[in-house]
Amino acid sequence: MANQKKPLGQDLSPSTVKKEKDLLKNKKFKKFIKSKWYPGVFQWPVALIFAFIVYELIAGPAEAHDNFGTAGTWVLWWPLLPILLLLFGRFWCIVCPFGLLNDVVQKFVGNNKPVPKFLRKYGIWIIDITFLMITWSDHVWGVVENPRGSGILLLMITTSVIFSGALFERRTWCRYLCFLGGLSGNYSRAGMVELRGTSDICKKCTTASCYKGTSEVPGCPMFEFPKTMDSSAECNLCGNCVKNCPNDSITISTRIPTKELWNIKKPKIEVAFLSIVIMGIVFVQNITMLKIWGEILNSLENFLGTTNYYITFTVTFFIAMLIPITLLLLTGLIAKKFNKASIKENFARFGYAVIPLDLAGHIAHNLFHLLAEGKSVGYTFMGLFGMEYHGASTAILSNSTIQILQYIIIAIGTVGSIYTAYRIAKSSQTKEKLFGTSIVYTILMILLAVANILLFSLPMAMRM
Amino acid sequence: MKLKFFKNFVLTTILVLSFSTLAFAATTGTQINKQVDGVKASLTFANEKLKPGSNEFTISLLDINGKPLSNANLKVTADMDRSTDMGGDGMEKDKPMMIDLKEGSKKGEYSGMADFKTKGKWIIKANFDVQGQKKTIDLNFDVQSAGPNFLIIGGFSGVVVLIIAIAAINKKKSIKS
Repeated sequence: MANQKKPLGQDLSPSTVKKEKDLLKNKKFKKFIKSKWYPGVFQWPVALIFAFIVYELIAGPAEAHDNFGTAGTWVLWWPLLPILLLLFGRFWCIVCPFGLLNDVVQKFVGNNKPVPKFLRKYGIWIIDITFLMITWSDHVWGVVENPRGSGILLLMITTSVIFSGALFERRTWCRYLCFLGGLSGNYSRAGMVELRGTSDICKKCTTASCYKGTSEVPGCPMFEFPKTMDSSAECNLCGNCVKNCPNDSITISTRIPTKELWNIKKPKIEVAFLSIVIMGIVFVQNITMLKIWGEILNSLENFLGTTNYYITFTVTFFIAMLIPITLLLLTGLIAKKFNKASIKENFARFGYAVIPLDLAGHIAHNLFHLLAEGKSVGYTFMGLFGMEYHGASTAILSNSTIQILQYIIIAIGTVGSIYTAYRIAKSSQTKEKLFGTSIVYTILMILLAVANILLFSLPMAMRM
Repeated sequence: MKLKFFKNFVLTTILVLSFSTLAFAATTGTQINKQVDGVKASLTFANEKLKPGSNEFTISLLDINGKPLSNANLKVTADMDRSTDMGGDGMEKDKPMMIDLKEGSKKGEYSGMADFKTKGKWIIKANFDVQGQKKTIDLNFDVQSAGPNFLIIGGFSGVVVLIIAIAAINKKKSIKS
């Protein structure tokens, strides 16, 4: 399988065709990405921390507020993740300990079987459903606020990763099965970093070392081919293509956030579906953490005639998912009058425009946990050495300051979504049709933003 | 040879006996007794160490002569001990849990299920009537942090070992062929 590096003719002048903002023009950066230390220098320390966190979750204190694993996972890592995805794309995925575990298992006992067709075809749908199921089970069985629950979730993922790494080739898990990978892929589309091949160089290349790999470095673990890659959704910036390319074609550059979404060539309905259900998930996360959730639940119990939480929450969950999906479908129906596209086409195309608002909602929601409970990371860490801080405030900033920051983030996300919808409309329509379509989707984004702001204006419960 | 056998026998006997007492000790439940105004309340949990979650208990009230109290109208609540609480965090406190009681196997004995939400010091408060007068007895105890669930850890470890073993065998087979 492995190819030997065969440089193209010297007539090619990569510097003239490569991007202006290419970070690989920095010699030190390029040397680091090409070195054997990258990405291991990030992966192994994170893997050690992860191992300790799993140990804490399954064998440490059973109460969330005493457990360093819970604080490290749900107060620090989870709120930081969407910010990392916005700034660095799917860089987290190369640092992720599950990816490293996949690679290690594959190296020693991997059977390297090709990815089954159904996974390639329905992978994102599987991710969508898994993501919904995990969110549902978190609320019903209390995964986040129960260290043992979180530990079991991580053990389940670990087992699945080992299975995938032992059976399938490359990072099948990360690309086709990881629920977090689906979320990360969506957010990375709006991210600020992109890795691409230089088309003028790649079109003359016959080795395809970036995909196939060489005797020294394996090919793209995410099944991507930089020559044709036009999205950052599946690139984890592992650097294998940079190391393997004999023609110095790869560029890593910064870009305006959301830029990739402006011109989606082949919109996929499953990606749009994930982006709109993430909005529903953010709603559910917010609603169930509000102090009025108890009253809502009581009313629902009276209405349904049952106090069974499985039933009442499932109904709430279903409604919360259905609202944004219905709104996007209805908007597509109205937009159809202007752009003459089908509802399905509009759903798939403009679903991508919700991603900036998803990202903003996710960051804003978790900002509360990061800033109102952030000190619990330090307290629980000190707790490992016997120092206890019971009753001490965990807040880094006051609730009112956090709320203002949340509103600002939602406002930025709304502007991002409105502008993305405008650019999507612009890329596929004439000037006359553009105005009507843009207005319709602007109203949708404002509605979703208002719903977010209303939820953030109410007092929220803590995780720890 | 005989001396060695004898030594081993004695050592084994000592070890077995000491561990067997430990094993028996581990199965002993937790009992808290308290006497107020001639009434003796006994609270017994099935487990020696109390963990967060549901814990079954029995409670009995005996008079000064050791006879069960009749018509005591016993009501039991469970709550965390707030006596050392600084109360500075401004968080809303949970109300004490009212526990439903069932009549136990013996006369004057009642059983119930208490759900301890978190580790720490807890109080079960027994409110009852003696000759028309209301009495309360507080029974204090510690709920300790729950340990890991070795069954789950063992289960996952078993599955992982199985996956790796099968993958390794398959890989070996494919290399040979």
